Amino acid sequence: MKNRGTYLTKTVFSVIFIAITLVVWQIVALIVNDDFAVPSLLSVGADMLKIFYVPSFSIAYFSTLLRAFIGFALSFITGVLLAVVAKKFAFIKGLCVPLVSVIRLIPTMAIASLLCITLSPSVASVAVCFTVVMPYVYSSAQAMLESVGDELLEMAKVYGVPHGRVLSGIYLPTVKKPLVELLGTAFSFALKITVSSEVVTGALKSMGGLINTAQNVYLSPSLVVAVTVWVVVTGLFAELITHLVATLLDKRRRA
Amino acid sequence: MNIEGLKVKYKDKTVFENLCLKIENNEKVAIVGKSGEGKTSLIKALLKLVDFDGKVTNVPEFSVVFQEDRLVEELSVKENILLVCPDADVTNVLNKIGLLDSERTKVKNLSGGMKRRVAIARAMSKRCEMLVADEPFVGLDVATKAVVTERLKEFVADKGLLLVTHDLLQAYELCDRIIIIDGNGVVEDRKTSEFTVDMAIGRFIANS
Amino acid sequence: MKRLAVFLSIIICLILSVGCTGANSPSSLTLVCPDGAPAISAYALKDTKVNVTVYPSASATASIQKDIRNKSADVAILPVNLASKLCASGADYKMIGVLTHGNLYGVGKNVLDENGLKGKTVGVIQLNAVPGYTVKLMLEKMGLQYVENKEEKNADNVYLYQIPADATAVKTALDTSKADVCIVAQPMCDRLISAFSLIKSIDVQSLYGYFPQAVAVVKTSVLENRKSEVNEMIASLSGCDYTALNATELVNWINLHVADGEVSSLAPQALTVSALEGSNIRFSPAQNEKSAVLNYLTQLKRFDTELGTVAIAVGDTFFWSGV
Repeated sequence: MKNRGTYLTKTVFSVIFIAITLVVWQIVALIVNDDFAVPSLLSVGADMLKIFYVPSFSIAYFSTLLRAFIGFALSFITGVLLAVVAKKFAFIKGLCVPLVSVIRLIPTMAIASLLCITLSPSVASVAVCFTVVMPYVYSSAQAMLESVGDELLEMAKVYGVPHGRVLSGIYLPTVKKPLVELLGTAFSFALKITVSSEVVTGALKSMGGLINTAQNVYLSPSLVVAVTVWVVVTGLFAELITHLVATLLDKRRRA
Repeated sequence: MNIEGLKVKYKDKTVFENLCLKIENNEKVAIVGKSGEGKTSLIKALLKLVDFDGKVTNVPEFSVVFQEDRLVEELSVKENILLVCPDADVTNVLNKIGLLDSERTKVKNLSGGMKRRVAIARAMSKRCEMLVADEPFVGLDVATKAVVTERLKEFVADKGLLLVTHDLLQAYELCDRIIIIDGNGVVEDRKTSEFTVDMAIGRFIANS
Repeated sequence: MKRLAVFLSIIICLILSVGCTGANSPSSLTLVCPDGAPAISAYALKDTKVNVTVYPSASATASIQKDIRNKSADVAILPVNLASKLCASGADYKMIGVLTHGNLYGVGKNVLDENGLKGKTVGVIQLNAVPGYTVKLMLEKMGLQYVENKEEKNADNVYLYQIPADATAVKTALDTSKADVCIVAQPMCDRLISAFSLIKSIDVQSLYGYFPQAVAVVKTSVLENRKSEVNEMIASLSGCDYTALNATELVNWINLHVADGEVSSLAPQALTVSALEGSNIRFSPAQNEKSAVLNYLTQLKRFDTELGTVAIAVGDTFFWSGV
C-alpha cells in the first residue's frame, strides 16, 4: 500500500513538473512573440503532429532508432563484458582504466568528423555512439559488480558455492534491477549521441540530418524543436519501459 | 583439529605470535577475549580467508555463521539457504528458528535480528562436522536468543562447535571448554566448569 | 537605499555606454555574409565604408537569419533560396544582384565526361542542401536517373551519397573507389587537384548552366534613404576583377572580418587564379538576373517536402529595380 502511494505521488509530481514546464515555455513564447527565436508550444505541437504522419519523417525516425539501437547494443555488450572481465582479472581492470578514460575524453564531434573521412555518415554515427556510450556502460556495470561485496564472495567460497551459482545466485540478483534500468538510460543516451553525431556527419534519412535541414534549409526552428522533442520523448519512453520492467521483476521475485 | 604456531598477518599488524590449540572431535569450544584481540582473525585463518603462518591440520568440514550476516539482500530467506545448500530442508530449519512465515520475504526487508537468524538457519542447513559461529547472538532479543541457543545445542549435539562470543552466558551454556585469548595467544584454556562468570565485569574468572 | 540607488545608476550608465559605443559610425552600412565565395565577393568593398562581418560556415545561416530578422544588417550576401524564404516571411529586404553563379565541380581520378556518369557513384557535399539539389537538377537535365539508396544502384543510374566537405574524406573516397567522382565547391576543387593529382571531371555549371547561387539583399529603407551609398557599394562590387586578387591579402582581409575572432576556412595557397575563376564571382544586377532567379527558385521548390520548403516563389517586389 505504501509503495502504491509513493508511486502515485511520484507520477503526480512528474506530471505537474511537465505541465509547469510547458506552461512556462508558452508564456516565454508569448512574451518574446517571435516564432523564430522561441517557437511557441502550439506551433511545435502542431509540427510534432504534422511530421508524425509524414513518410520521410518516419523513415528518418526509424533509421535513427536503428542506428541508436546498434550503437547501444554494441556499447552495452562490450561495456558489460569488459566490466565482468575486469572484475575477474585485475590486470584487465588496470588496462581498462586509461583506455576507457581516453575514449571518454575524446571530443565527440571531433570523432564524428574524423570517422566521416573513412566511414559512411551512417556508420560514423554508430561509431561515435559507441565511443561515448560504451565507457558509460562500462563504468556503471563496474560499479554494479563492485557493489557485490567481497564478504558475500568469501561466504560463497567458504560454503563451497560453485561458480555458476555465485553468478546466478549472488551477482545476478544484486545487479539485475540496476542493469535493467541501465538498459533504458544507456539507450536514451545512445539516441541522444546518435542524433547529435548525425547533425555533424549529415547522415541521410536521420533525425540529426532532419534537424540540420530544418535549421539550415527550411529555416524552421519549430520543426527543429519538434524533432528534438520526439527524440526526447522516445528516450524517456525507453527509460520508463525499462524502469517498469525492473520494478515488475522486483515484484515478481517477492511474490 | 590442530593449530600450531599460528601467526595471522595483516598489512599493518600481526595477530598472535605463536598460537597453539587442539580441538577434539565434537568438542564445543568458546573463544572469548576483549575486542580486537584476534578472535575473528583466528576464525578467518581457519577459513583461509587471511594469510597466516603456522599449521592447521585435521580441519573438519565447517559450516559458518559469520560475524556479519553476509546474506544476498535481493534474495528471499529460502533462496539464501538454497544458494549454499540446494538440498536443504528449508521448511524444517526455518521452522526451528522461527522464520517460517518469512520464507519468501526478501532479506532486505527483514530486521537485523531476523537477518541474523537467517544466517544461523543457513549454517544449520549444511551438513558439517563443526559449526563455526562468530558472534551469532548479536541483535537478538532475550527470548529469541534463548530459542536460538536451544536450536544450536540440538544442532551441535553430534558435532563440534567453535563459538566466538561476547555473550558469556551463551558460551557457558553451549560450550564444554572456554579459551580466553589476547593478541599474543592463549591466556586461559579450561573446562567451562572451571570458570565462574562475573557479570559485573563481564568476564570469566577461573576458579582457583 | 542610497547604496541601491548608486548601484542602479552604475548599471544604467553601463547599459547606456554599451548602447552608445559602437565600432561602427552611424553612417556606415553593415554587411554580413558567410565564409567562402561570398566573403571573397565582399572583398571588393575593402576600400569603402561598408562594415563587413563574415560568419563561419557552421553558424552562417543562423547568424545571417538573425541579423535580417532583427534588421541589424543593412546588406546581406546569402544563398538565393534563403533570401527568398526570409523576404517572403516578412523581412523587408530586396535583392540587388547576384554575386556568385555556381562553383560546383566534380573531381576524380579519371576523365569522366557527362556520358560516363551512368552507373557511377558520386559523392556530393551537402547532398540535402542547395549543392545537392543542384547536382540532382543537373542529372535530370542530362536525362540521368539518380538514386540515394545503395541497394537501388545499377548500371543505368547514378548513385549519390553525401560526402563531408573535407579534402581527406574526398581523397579517401576516391582512393578506395568508394566514389568515382566527388562534387565539391571551389576553391576546394583546385586544392584537391593540385594536392592529390586529381582531375576536374565535371563542371556542374557547364552541364546545368550557371545558376544564381549567392545573392545580395539590402534593407528597403536603406535602398530608399541611402541610395548613393548603395550605388557606391554596387559600383565597387561590379568593378572588382575577382580573378586578379592577391590571395594572401584577400585571406588576411577576410580573417580580420570573421566574427567572434574565428578564422576563415580559406587558405591563400588554395586561391589560385584558376580557383578564383572557377568560383564564378561577379556582380550581376537584379533586373538582369530576374528570370534566372525565378527559374532557379522554381527548380529548387521541387525539392520541397511536407516537412519544409527549400525556397519560396518570389514576386517582382523581391527584385530592386533601382539599378
